[in-house]
Amino acid sequence: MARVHRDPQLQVAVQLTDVHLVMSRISRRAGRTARQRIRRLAGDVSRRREEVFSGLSVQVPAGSAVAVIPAETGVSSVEFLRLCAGSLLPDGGHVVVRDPVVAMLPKSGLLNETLTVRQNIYMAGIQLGMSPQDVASRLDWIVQFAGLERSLDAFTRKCPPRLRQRIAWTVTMATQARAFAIQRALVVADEAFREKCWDHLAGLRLEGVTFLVDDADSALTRFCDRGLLLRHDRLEWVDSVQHATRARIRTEEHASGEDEPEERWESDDGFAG
Amino acid sequence: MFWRYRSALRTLVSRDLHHKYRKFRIGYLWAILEPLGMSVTMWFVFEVLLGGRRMGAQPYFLFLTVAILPWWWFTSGIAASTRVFLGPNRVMKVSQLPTSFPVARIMVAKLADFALSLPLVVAAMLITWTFPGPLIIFFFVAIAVQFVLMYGLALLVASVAAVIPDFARIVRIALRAGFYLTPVLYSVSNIPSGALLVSHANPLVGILGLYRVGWWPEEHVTMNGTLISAAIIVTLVGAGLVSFLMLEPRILKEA
Repeated sequence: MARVHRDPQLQVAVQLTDVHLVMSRISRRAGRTARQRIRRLAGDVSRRREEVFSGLSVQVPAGSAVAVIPAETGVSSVEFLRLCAGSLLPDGGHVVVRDPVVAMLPKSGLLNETLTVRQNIYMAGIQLGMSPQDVASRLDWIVQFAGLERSLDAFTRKCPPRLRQRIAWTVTMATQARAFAIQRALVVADEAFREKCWDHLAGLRLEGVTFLVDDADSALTRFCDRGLLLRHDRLEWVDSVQHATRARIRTEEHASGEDEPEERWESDDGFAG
Repeated sequence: MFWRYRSALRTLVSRDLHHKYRKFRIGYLWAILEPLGMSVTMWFVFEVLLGGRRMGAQPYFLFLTVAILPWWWFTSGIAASTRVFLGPNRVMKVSQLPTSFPVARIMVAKLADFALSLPLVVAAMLITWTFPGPLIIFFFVAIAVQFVLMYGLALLVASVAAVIPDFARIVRIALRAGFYLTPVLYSVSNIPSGALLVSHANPLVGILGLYRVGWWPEEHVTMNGTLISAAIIVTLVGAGLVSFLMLEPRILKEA
């Protein structure tokens, strides 16, 4: 029951053909009457179906590093990244990948606070498609890269947030996938560790690994070689990532002008506001 | 389907069982003590207090125990499956495992629970000094058939409950009613002859017959009954697979 179709003979890393996607948009109930307040207190929400993509087609070349940037209000890069990783299925059209695309999203729930760091490494590795034997063979690398020597058998709830970010990031990299879909995950931990991550990613790029990145970090521009502007019904390739990030800034300014503080994307974990 | 993920499944199920029992002082013994408590209570009420009713074959304690364990397995597995996709499941956004993996994980964990409770049947045999004949082979056939039925039903229940949360409550009511509509406390011979054929629409009637036939050959199900039960099981498993495939995109969107 594979979620996306895999074709090892595919000439590109990811191919989306005529993809349609409709998501439910959740709004907290507004209003100031007593009845409306009670419904709001009870957690009652209203749902509205909204078309995110309609007839989207794109091919992502293998070995490229692409900055995925929403260029219209209401378009979310999370859905695009999840479609590529197979954790979201389109309502219409097809998604075909050459190799499994491993997603790395913030607040992905990969780590369980009740487990130790070692247990979490195993559990996260299994969730990301590694076998327990694979995790065991790469445990030393994970521990060394993330600097977990002293906290390997500590409970994760006692670890500072930056250490948890390190664990999630390093385990994701340890999957040795040929394609990654990363959102805001490079804003990890401390500056030294981030630089280490960038160096590691640069090495992977030289090996021909494909990256789909949505990251507001300025480092995005130095890492990606192309930009992909996401619109409802089409995609636009841009060679200048700086141009693409300017489009994002315009979109965010436009979105903030609409002032919809009550609404959030259902699939965004609440962080994409 | 899950052969590729067998080591992951084994690790996660072991972890689930360990996590479930580690907080208790007597650990895995609870897998036996819970159904034992139920068996003893039922035996006391229906054999000692209401003695003479002869609801099932003798010895009644063994008769009850042989059916209560599979029923316990069935009801706990289906009830747990209603909660698999309820609420936000953030890890599904990045997980490379199949969407149906959590359902399989629960089913295998419950099967392991059932296997851990089987010494209770051995204890009941020794207490009542009643041993099975060669038809005991059907006991193991029944386990395989029940596992397939439960997996199909769990896919159906989990996927529908993810879209319509009210369905979880309906399933709970159906399981309570199912306890009395399934010959756990009583023998198949207690079912009125007019309703016997219809009763086979409940696939557990035939499955419990297979569990018991090793000790009480008269508990076997007729050929017509077996065919009806088999058709219902195939239909339910098919419905589970189809409903899951149809609702999988919505389950992932709700994650």
